[in-house]
Amino acid sequence: MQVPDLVPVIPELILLVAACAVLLVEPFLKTEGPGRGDKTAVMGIALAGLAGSLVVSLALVGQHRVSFAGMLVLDDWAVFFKVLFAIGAGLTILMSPLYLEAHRRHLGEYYALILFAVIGMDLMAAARDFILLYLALELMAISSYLLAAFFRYRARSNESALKYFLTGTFASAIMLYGISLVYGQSGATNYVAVGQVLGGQGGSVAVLFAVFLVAMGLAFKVSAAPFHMWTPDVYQGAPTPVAAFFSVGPKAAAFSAIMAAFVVAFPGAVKEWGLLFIVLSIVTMLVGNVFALVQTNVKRMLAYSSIAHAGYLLTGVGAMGWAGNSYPGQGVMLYLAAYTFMNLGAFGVLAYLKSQRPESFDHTLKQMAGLGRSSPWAAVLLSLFLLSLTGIPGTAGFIGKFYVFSGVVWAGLWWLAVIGVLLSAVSAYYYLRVIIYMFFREPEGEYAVKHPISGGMAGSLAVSAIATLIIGIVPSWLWDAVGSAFITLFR
Amino acid sequence: MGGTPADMAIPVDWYLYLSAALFIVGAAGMLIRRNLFIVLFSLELMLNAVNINLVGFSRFHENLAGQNFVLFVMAIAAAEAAVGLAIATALFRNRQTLMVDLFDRMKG
Repeated sequence: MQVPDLVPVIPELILLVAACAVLLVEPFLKTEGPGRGDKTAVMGIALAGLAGSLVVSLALVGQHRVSFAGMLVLDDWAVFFKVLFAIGAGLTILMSPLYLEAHRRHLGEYYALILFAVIGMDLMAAARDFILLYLALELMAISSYLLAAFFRYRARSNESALKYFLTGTFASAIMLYGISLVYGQSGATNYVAVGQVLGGQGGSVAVLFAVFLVAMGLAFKVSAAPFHMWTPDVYQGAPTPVAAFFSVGPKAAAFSAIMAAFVVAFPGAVKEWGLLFIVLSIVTMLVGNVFALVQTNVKRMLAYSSIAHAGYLLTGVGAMGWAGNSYPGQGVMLYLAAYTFMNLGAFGVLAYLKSQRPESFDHTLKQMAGLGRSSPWAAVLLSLFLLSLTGIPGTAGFIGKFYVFSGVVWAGLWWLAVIGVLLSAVSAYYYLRVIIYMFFREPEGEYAVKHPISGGMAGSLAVSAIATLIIGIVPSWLWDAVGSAFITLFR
Repeated sequence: MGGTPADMAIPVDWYLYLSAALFIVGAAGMLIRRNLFIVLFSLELMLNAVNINLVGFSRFHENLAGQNFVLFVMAIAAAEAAVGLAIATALFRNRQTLMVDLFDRMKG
């Protein structure tokens, strides 16, 4: 028997060892009552695992290895996403203890589940075979369902998990049916082999139907309208750090899988799937922005805003297929990196506020009033992240939107870029409204924070804020990294 | 799906029809039924419809990739059922019901 080349999966193996170590060490830690206690040890293991995975991934830059009979590859494309996921999960873990401690549910499984989800996300980006894509997606999804249900004594957390589970499994079943039809058409599950067989007979109805079903399943995962119904409920009900993680990790993983699978496996139908994603992107941008306008709950508003951002990202994916050009795809990668930091930061500030008053704070706009006086740091940081989400120049959000929309214009779809820019102007209303409440409205009740931002939460927010500003002010290094990572997809 | 291998007694189209019918029944069940257990059964139906497809195509193409895939799908289906039932237990403890349309606290 031939031993497969294990080098491409070393980052995942490190995470696997760390996750198992977390589960093994946790029972030996002292507890101070149910769900409380010093969990520094397991947190340290989890963070060390993520750091190890990140360092090894960076050490593997420039390699091109195909392993497990062509099921997965290690190239700069996969490395880019592995690094992004490790950073996103690390920031999530740093902001979690304060929140979990406040809700008396500080358990080691939480960290293990995040690590398992990251393994799934890493493999989704590296997958070059539909079997591995499905397995990796389910590893990520099943860990996510459990994370959503983590506060199992709270009705809202349960409801959130139920909705996530039912819609998620429904979507993956549809995607799986599509994959079975792809296999039926081509007799292969490997992206490259599928691409070679289907490349010639691009436009046949059966192929397009299969492609449509696969696209539908993945569109659920990126919460593209009209498959977005679960997003607001899940984000609102899930623990806030978990919602932060959902909004960046699984979404970016699904985008990486969409781009890799569709570019490599369905080259004969690029026009058709490009058009499909363009239509989805327009609907998604409209639905996300319009519904976000009427929200009074900031967490729910951020959920709709994440739908809107999925729409901006999909314009890039669609333009990439429609024009057969890699430029919009590079913009999507850069946007995903920018979005990871700014969205994690925004949810992180909400997690901090909730952890200060776990019983009374409900993320509503009214309760944000007067925050600028009672907790200036939280207010300033949240303002920075919201301005970045709006796309104000000098922040990461502007750079992300600039590159995605200029890619779309480059692809000859200037009207699509105009729709995107107009709708992101609409988004300024609901982002700036939060800032106005924080700085210019008198608080109605006593919502002052108890402790200043400190510890892991401070580190997480600081890293997010600094990264948001750095990407916003000097984006060229990231653009170069994205460019060299993207072309490896076509090798 | 034109020709079939000579030794394939049942044409591959028939597997496709059966699988499509099962998949539609499962999808309709997931969308319409209110009881969480029936919804979970419907999910299994959808996944098994896919399995029939994969096995049929595997025979048609005379390669084993499809049958390998089925083993993975069955393992994932078991994991999904375990998580689904765990969520059902937690839900029942909090609300004493498993009718999915009653879980509507978050709206808008």
